[in-house]
Amino acid sequence: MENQKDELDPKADLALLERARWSLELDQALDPGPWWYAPLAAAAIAAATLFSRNGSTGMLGLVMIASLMLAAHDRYRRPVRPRPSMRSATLVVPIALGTFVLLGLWGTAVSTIGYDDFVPGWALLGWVLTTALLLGGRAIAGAVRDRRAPIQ
Amino acid sequence: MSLDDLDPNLTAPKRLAALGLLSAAKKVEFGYLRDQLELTDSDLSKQLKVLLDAGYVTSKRTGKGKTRASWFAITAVGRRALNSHAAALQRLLQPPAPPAPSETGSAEAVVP
Repeated sequence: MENQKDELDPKADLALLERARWSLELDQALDPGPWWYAPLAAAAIAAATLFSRNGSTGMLGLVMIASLMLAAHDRYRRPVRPRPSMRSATLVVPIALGTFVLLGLWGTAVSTIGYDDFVPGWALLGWVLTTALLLGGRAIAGAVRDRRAPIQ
Repeated sequence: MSLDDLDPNLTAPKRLAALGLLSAAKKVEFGYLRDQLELTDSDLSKQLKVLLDAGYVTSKRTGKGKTRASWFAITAVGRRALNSHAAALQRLLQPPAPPAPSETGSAEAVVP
């Protein structure tokens, strides 16, 4: 026990535990798979219907059903079965809301400059750019994680 | 508060991190755990065996051939052990409470 006392660093151990939990939850929240892209596509169509006078709610419904089917299929290929928790909700909900608002802003910006007749196309472009932003965020999170010292 | 409150199975950082990861998911595949913890297959197997023997995790194999996978999940016992180990670590970080003045001690301090 004396040896253990010399080596023990409670602060480092607690930080390691927190890092392990957050790393899994963050990884799952930003995982680029159908689980994430499909709802993004649904959000893109939703944004399009919000800002287009001729938006099709039928199309939105189809995309949302397709998203759920893809998400269900993807669930069996993933190496982690996430555990729903308040902590993971605090990650996913702001990301989803932020994405929706961002896509809505794309629609608003396009509408302002008078290209209302091409909203789905602009929403698609907004979706691509938003996804690129999310991938960038994920790459930065990965780089930060890789810079940390490995577990001894 | 003493070091005896710490769980000997979790004083190794690799096992602590592995159980921490498992506590955030319903179940996790071996390869994912290995990549996240940056361990070799044999090292991770060794650490998981300790946790399995302690009853902190369960394992299940699925699929055949290329789709074969080993899944690990934390048990209720493991979750309790992790929580109490984390609580013990927290207590170790707290500064020791000053000793309560005994009656004889205060009397000596007052008497010139």
